Amino acid sequence: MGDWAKIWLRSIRNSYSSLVFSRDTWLGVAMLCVTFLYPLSGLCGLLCAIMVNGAASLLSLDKFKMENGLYGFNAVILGLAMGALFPPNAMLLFLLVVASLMLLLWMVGWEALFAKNHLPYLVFPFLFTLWILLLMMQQREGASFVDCVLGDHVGILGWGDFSLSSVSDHTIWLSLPEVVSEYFISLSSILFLQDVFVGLVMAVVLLCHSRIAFLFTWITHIAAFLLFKGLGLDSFHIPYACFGFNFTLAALALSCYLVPSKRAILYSLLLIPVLMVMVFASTRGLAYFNLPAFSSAFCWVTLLFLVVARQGNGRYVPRLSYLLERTPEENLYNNQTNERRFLWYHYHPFSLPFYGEWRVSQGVDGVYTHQGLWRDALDFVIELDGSQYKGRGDSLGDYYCYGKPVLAVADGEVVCVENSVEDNPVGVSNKRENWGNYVVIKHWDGCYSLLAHLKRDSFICSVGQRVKRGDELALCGNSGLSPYPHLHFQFQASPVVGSPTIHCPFVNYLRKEDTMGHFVPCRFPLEGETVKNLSIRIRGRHYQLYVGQTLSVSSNRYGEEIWYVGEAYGYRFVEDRKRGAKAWFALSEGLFEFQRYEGSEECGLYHFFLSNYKVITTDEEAWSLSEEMSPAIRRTGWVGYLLDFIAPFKSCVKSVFSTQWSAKECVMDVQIVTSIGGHEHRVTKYRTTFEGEESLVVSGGSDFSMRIAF
Amino acid sequence: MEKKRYERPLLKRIVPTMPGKTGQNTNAVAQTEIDGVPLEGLRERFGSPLFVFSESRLRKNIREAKQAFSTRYPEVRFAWSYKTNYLNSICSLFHEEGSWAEVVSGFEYDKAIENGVASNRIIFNGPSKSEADLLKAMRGDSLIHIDNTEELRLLTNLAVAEGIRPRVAIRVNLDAGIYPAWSRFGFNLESGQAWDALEKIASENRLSCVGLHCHIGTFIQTVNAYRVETEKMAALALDAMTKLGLPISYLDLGGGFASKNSLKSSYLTGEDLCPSFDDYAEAITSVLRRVKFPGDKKMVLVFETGRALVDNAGFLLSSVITNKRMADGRLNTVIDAGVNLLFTSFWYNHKVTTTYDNVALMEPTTLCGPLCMNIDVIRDNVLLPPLKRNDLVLIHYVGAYNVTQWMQFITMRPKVVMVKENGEVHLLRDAETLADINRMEH
Repeated sequence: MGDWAKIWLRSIRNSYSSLVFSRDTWLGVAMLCVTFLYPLSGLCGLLCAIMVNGAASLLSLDKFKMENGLYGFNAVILGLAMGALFPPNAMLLFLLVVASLMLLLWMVGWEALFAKNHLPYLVFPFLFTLWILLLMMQQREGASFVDCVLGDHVGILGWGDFSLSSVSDHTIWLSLPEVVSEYFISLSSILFLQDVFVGLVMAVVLLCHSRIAFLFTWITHIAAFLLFKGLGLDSFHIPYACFGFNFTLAALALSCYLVPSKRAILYSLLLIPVLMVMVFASTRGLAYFNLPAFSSAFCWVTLLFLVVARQGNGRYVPRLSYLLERTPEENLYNNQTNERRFLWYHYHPFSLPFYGEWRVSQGVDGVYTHQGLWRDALDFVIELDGSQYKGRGDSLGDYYCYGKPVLAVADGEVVCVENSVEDNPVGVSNKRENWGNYVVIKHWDGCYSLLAHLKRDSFICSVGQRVKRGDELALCGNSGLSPYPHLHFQFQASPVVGSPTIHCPFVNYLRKEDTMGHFVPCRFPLEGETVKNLSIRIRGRHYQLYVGQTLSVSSNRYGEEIWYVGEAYGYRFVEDRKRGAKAWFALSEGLFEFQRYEGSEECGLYHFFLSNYKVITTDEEAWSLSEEMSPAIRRTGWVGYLLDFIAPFKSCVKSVFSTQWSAKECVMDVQIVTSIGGHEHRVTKYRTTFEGEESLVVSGGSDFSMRIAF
Repeated sequence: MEKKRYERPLLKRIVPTMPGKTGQNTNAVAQTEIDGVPLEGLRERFGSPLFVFSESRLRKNIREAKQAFSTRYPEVRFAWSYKTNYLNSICSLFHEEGSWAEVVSGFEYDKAIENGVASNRIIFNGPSKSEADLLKAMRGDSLIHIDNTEELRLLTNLAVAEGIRPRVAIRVNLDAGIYPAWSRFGFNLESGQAWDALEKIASENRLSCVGLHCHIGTFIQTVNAYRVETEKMAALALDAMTKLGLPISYLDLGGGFASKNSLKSSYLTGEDLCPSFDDYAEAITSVLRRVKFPGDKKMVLVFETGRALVDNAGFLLSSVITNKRMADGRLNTVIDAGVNLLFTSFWYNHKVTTTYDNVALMEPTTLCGPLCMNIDVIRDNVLLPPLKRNDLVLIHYVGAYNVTQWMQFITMRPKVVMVKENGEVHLLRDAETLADINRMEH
């Protein structure tokens, strides 16, 4: 099958699944099938989708959006609605063509309006298109052709009359409790069908697709149903079925746009009464124009709640998902994991102010001087075999740190230098000029770094000078309140020496234990830790991927493959086009990490993703790191499916990637442990062997082996 | 008959107190153990003579050296000089501490590979590399340090034939203001040989010249020589990068750092005289830190120091065989370890200790080995307390070059042990036997 046909099939399929905020293949296919239980509606929906996608591609609109059904879902629903509301004749076909074009225009218009606020246009384009069609048809006097097309159908468009016929026999579902049958009807109403059987099929598909979405729809449905009964609305002969789908849609939308947590559930419960009121209000308001409300209440209320979630500071309001994921499960797991994984992206990459390994002799809230307003400060010394000095330690030169260069932690401007204080003899403190010789560097307004107790006349920077990260400033000394040579470091908000400290973490350094360096992504070093910057030398060309590069890969399981390095939205990815897999990565100084994986798990790229999830690329002797992996990447079978139900409340599944590198053997060993409730469930091991500067071999399990040439 | 000339009797007042202005305190200081392991016990278990290495000293040395450089300069690597001591356990210990391997022959290269060193962490030095050696090294992506024009031509041809682009450096020799200036290895800087070689590499474009190598000599006791060396090498690297576009990424400044041993020509002892790693590091890095390479690139500093890392971690334990008064009146003490085991005694005054503590009466002694050769003298003149047969003598600073340059001559080569950090003693190498010698004969 050609690429062209594949894209088309995918775009049609996604148009259906996008109706319930998904891009799941089977969900799309299943929904497409059930619409054909009502052949006319089904056909209209499909036609409309094809026409809108076709028009979108003729107008050269975004191919990605077309492929992912973002233009198509409004079309499907429009087609279904027209098939359900209008009689089948030639005029319907004409109207479908016109409506499709109009829908696309509305869609692009709404998108232009909403996208800049990062908001979805939901089914607004559909609503507006259908309303316009219906408004046009009310002009009965002047337009006789509409009259003959529609006949009496226009009369049924009041909201009380808005009921749809059902092909399947309702009587067999009578035994179901009302709350259950109403749930199915609400689901099927999304497709402009009111059919328990269709709802049942959709519910099963939805359950297979996402437990969390299923849970959300039930919770909101029950809550809305109880509210409906509690208010006694059923006694007014208002069928719940006429508007129940609003709640189901809102639940589906929120489970996709919000990170589905406890807060998100509470948030969607909060939405119910508002939506209930809005449903009635919109129905009454639109009845004025003789128009049905359809799902307009859902659109407005969901939109408002999303805006509020965006504006809220995230403490009580649930967070919005960073990306629109395939399922709410992925949404939850990926967001939960990424929040912790990519925390360091929020911080400026400050590096440690020295060469080599130094030990924190006094940390934050230290007992000697790092207290109160000055708590976020660090004292560093050099130690060897547990001692800070060689010989007797009675002269400054005996101390390992004395006279060692100190460096700028980030780019900035030297704003303050003091170089007049004599170094103290060992054991003596100068309490009058307690900061000793120091340098203050301004990184930006409100962020200054101070290095104190420096050696007199060792400064190689001067006030006003621009310095870059890692530039040498002076030498470590023993001036000021410093009985023994050490380096005092702190961040502060003002350039005045001795200002209160502020807390900024250091990013991406190694904590040394013996010869092993444990990677620390983002935090202040703790007292007693020995820390060192990552090396500045990159080892080999292995991870230095550039956009447009091709990697040739050969493995014993998947044969010869070619991977491409591409870029989209400012992010880079490695792509296996043949198997449709994409691994998004970030390459920063000294660090290569995969951020996200999409597509088939039956390919070499998936193994590369797992085995090289996060790697230090600089030339280190030995390092180890561990990193959380989203449970969405590592599914745990049936147990995992069941655990999805409680995932919004408690996360039981945890995947941890841990790796160790030894430069001696040029080998990186990886272990990925997935555990459920603390019990080991699945362990995967990989070994990456580096061959020369440009190729590496990934091996895993008993037989898998893959060579990647960069 | 002519009357014999009168010789007055020699009277020497011995005062066992603080040293006066006439000399140092001559009191003997005993050493009865190595890292807590009694020498007597070592002899009982492993026999005499015996080479003893101290794990804790080895580790301390390399850590001190690494720290001295790495807290002054961001990128420093050490490559263990195999020829200094290629006992597998010693090499492995250095590799464990992160050292690369520096080898000078195909044999040493294979040894490094067998010790588990990744081949791209092997530096291949030396003036005589065979075609097979070069092939092996270039296929393993090792760093080949080219010594001469013939080798450069050979390697270029091999690179073309094999379709490999080997990573190389050229060895440079230069005048660092010391005597003797070693000019027999590598390409001379001042005469322009080095630049010619670099130009050749750049114009032929078959080799990837990623580094520059220089080793100014051995047992260099003045740090200023390194300052000069670093200045000249950095300038050459800068030129090679900017004018020839060579991808120079490291400077291998060789070794030559002095251990605390005492040279025969030196009046003061090495312990008082020789610079520390900190002194060397300060001299080298303070120069290199000021050099701005293109694109703010930081050169990786590579050292292949051997002696200073291992000398003080090795001891030779020996037993007294006999005392003799020679015809000229000097005392001659014969021990069971000779120059066949202690090659370095030809240029060092090795420190010698006994197990006798606080003996005031010391006698100038000639310490001889057991060989039936007149040259077998370990120390010409050393103050020792009176020793008798079977007394233990410990010879210090023997870790470098001896267990590689020793020979099987008259006696067999003895056992080598290592005192581990946990106090255990491991046998590193067994003593030779007659069968070992005969096995190779037909």
